Amino acid sequence: MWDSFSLGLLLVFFSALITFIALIREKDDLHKLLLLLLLQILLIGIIALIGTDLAEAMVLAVLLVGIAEIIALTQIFVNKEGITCKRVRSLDIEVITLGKAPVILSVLLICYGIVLSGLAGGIIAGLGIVFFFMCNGYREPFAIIEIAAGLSFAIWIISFLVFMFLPQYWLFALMGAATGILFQVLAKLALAGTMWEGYHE
Amino acid sequence: MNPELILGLILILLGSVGAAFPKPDDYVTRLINLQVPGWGLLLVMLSFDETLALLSFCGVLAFSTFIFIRVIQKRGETG
Amino acid sequence: MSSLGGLSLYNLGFGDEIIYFTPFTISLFIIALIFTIFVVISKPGRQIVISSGKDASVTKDFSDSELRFHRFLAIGCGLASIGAAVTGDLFNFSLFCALVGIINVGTFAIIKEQHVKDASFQYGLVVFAATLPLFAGAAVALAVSGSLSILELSKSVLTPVPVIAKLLLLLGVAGEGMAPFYAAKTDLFRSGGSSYLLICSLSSFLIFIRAIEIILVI
Repeated sequence: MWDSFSLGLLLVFFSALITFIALIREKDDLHKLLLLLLLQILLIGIIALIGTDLAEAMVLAVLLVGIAEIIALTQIFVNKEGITCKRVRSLDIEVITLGKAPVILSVLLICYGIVLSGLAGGIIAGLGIVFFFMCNGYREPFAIIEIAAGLSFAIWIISFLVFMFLPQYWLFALMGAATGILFQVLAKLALAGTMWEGYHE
Repeated sequence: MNPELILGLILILLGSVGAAFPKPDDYVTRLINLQVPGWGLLLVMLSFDETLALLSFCGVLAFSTFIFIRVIQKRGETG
Repeated sequence: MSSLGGLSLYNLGFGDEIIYFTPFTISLFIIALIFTIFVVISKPGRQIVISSGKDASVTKDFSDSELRFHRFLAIGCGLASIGAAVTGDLFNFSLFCALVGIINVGTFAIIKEQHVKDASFQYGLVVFAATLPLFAGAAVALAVSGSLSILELSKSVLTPVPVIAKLLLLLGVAGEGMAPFYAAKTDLFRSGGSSYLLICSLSSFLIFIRAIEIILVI
């Protein structure tokens, strides 16, 4: 009766109850948003406790919904409070702003990510780029990164259509999907790295 | 019931109590306490061998922490 | 298939996702489609504010790009409610409900007045909090009965879905479909994009009816 799913579900629902109580007692808006991030973590916990492949696919979709709602709500919050342009400084740590270590680490991470390919490779290479941007600042034109992201998304969709309708060309579709998702994730994470300086040129 | 699962569930419970009622009641403390249930969830996913979900959740948690730190910095005060 | 939605007329297989058409879902589909077409062809209105005590009125103007984005969001909301009306998968239904909620928050947040912004933020908090019971209901149903397809669940050969999962699902849908309350609270039905805002009420109505059908069938 008390297998791992039931026990875990009980604990996670109890945590959700605590979070809802804290949410009711809270008055500040940004605190409420932070508590909702905690609720999203608990929701993914409920789904991950099922522990099958289908649950893994569900986790990915729910992560997408959660990050969309977080971005939308923080943007509405910034609009609502009327905070528009206040400069945000970049990370001011002397060890990593001067010296060659960030460049070497980023190049290593990007090379390893390209070798891995796929989603995991995209995340690793993207982390390399995030680290580089966070340490060095940036002066790169973003239109090129955006165009690359759009093209790679198109390649990804085309590979999925090939998987569905022309299954005999699966090798081509596999290569296309791996490259497409690599560049897609890489470009999106690179944009995250540039959030630290509050202006674009 | 392997040890990762038990440790992960305990971390989720303690971390959500800590993030729901942080002791100095400001944004940064709550954001740091939020990483504890995140780690608990990572351990739960590790015990069920959900590699893809684990990697994506790492990325999304880091991304949302970026977003919230930036909003807190823009807001320019703690409290 | 139980007799609530009528006999299943046509099953459209799309991979392992099965979209099924009963007389019930066909009527919901047609209603959502007609109102989406109305949104596509309708022109925006103008809001006239009469200042009290004086003999004066002010016409509020909305910029062109604002109205275009409003229309885009309304079409997206219509498509999402079409998807929620015909899908045959419990998890896809939850995803479409969450999509309707996010799009409605976006529809409110376009308006540039302060009280509307506050209301849209509050509605966003409700939508975000309601995703937990919504997806948790689908997850508990999957864990207990082992399937997410509504066709399989309605045949009653599997373990029946527990009542707590149905209650969680209903709670989640109630949170996502709160849009008309906030629209009425901020008096949005008189604003310039009101012809696009109609789809907001309609989508809440559609996902409520569909959720009740799903809860009675599974």
